[in-house]
Amino acid sequence: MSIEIKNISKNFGGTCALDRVTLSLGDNKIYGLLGNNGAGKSTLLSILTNRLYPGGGSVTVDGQPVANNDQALGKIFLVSEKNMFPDDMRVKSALDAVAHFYPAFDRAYAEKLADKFRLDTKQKIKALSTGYGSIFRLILGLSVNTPYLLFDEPVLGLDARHRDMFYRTLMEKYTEKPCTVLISTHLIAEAAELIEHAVIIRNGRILRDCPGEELLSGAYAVSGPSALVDSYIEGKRVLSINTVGGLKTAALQGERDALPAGLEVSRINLQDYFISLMEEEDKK
Amino acid sequence: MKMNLRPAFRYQFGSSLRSAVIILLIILAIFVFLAVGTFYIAVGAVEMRFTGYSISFAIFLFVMGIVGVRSDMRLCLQCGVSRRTAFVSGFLATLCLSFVLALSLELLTALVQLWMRADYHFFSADLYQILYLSGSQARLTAGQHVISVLVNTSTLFASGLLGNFFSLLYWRLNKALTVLVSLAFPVLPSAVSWLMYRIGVNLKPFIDWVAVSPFNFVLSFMLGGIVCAGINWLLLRRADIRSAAA
Repeated sequence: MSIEIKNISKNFGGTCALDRVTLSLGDNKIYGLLGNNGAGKSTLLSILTNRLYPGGGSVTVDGQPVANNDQALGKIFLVSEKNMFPDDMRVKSALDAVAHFYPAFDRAYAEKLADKFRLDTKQKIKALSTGYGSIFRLILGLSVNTPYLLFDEPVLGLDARHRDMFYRTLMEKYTEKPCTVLISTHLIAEAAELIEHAVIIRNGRILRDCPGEELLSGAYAVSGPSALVDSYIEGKRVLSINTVGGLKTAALQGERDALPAGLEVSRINLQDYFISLMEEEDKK
Repeated sequence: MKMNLRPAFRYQFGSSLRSAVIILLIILAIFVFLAVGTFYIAVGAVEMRFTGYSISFAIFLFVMGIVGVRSDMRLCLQCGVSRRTAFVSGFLATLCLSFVLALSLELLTALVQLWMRADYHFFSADLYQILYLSGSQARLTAGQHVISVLVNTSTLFASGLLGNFFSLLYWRLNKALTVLVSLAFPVLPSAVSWLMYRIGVNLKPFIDWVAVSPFNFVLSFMLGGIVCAGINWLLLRRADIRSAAA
C-alpha cells in the first residue's frame, strides 16, 4: 500500500519544475513536503492527482497508474491551495457533491467541523474569505476518509487559533483513522511536531527524504564567541552561520567532537535545519 | 480500467438540468402569454406566431457547453474522477439532456397544438416543422412529433459539444494564439469557401441531401457532434487542469 513516484519530470516552457523526482509514500505515516516557493511542491501534488501530466516518469497508487484511473484517483484526496469547485456553488452543495463521489465521506463529521470552525454552509464558495476558503477545503479533506490525504499549503490565510484547531483535529483524525498524510507547507515550525518523515525539495529535485529524527540526528548548532566557533567548525560540514555582534552560531552536520570551553551546543529543529540546508544550497 | 461514471454523470446531468428547467419554464411562460394573449386580446385580429424555440435551447446548450466543461473537469478531478471518465460522463450528460429537453419541448408543442383551434390565430412550430413541413401544417402527427424530437435532440447535442470545443480550444491556447485564433475565426468561413472552390469541393449536394430528409439532418448533426467530441478529447487529454483563479 503506497504511492510510488518514479523519475517524474515536468517542464513549463523552459523552466524545469521537477527533475527526475523519485519518492515513495508508505502506509499510515505523516509526511512533510518542505520547500521554498517555486520548489515544485504544488506541481508534484498536481501530478500525483493527474491534474497535470508529467513530461516523463510514472505515478502509481497501490500498484495502479493514476493516469485516467478512477480506482487509483479515488484513493487520493488533495486539499488544494486554490478552489476547484464552481465559484457559485454553496458550501452545502459542495458537501453534497463530495458525498456523491466518495462513499466513505462522513457528512455528519463535516457538519460538525463546520460548526466547530464556524463555517456558514449556506454561503457561496466565492463569498468565503481566504481563511474560510481554506477551512472549507480542510473540512472536506478531514471528512473524506481516503487512504491518502494530501494537503497543499493547508493553513493559508488561517489565523493562529484556526491553525492550531486544524493541527489538533488532524492529529485526532489520524489517531482515530490512520491514513497516509502528506503536508506541503512553508510553515515548517508549526507542522514540525506532526511530521514523521520529511521530504525536502528544491528547484524540482529532492534534497532529503528520510524520517524527521534521522534528518536531525546528525545536525546540531554551536554558538559562542566568533573566534572559538571559527576554530571549532574548521574542517566540519557547516550548514549555516549567523553572526550577531561578536557572537556566532553555526549549524553543523556530522559527528560531534568534544566541545571546547566557552561554546554551547544545542539541537536544531526542523525549520532551522531547513533554513540551514537552503543556505548551504544557495552557496553552491 | 473500470470507469466510475455514475457519480460524475449524476452531478453533470443534474446541474445542467437544473439550469435547463429555468429556460423551459421561460418558454412555457411565453407560450402561455401568447396563447392567452391571442385568445383574449387579439382574437380574430392578429395572428401570433411562436416558432423555432428549440434554437433558444441550442444557444443554451452551446453556452452551457462553454462554461460547464471546465468547471466539471475541475470538480471531477478534485473528487477523484479521471478526466476520461469526466469527459465520457459529460458527453452522455449532453446527449441525455438534449433528449430530455427535446422531449419536453415536443410535449409542450403537442399540448399547445392540441389545445389551439384554427380560429385562435396562434401558430407554433419548431425546427422540424419549419424546415421539412414548410411551416404550414398546424398540427403534427405522432410520428412527426417523434421525428421532431430526433431533429431537436441532434441539434442540441451538436450545439453542446460545439460549446465544449470552443471552451477547450481557448483553454489550451496561450495569449498569443488566443488572439490569433480569434482574429482567424471571422475570415475562416471565407477562407474555407475559397479553399473548397479551389480544390473543387462542392457542398451543395450535401446540403441538398440534408434537405431531402429529416433523418439525414439527424445523422449529419449527430455525426458532427461525435466528430466534435473526438476533437474535444484530443484537446483535453493532456490539458493542465488548474483552478479558475490560477
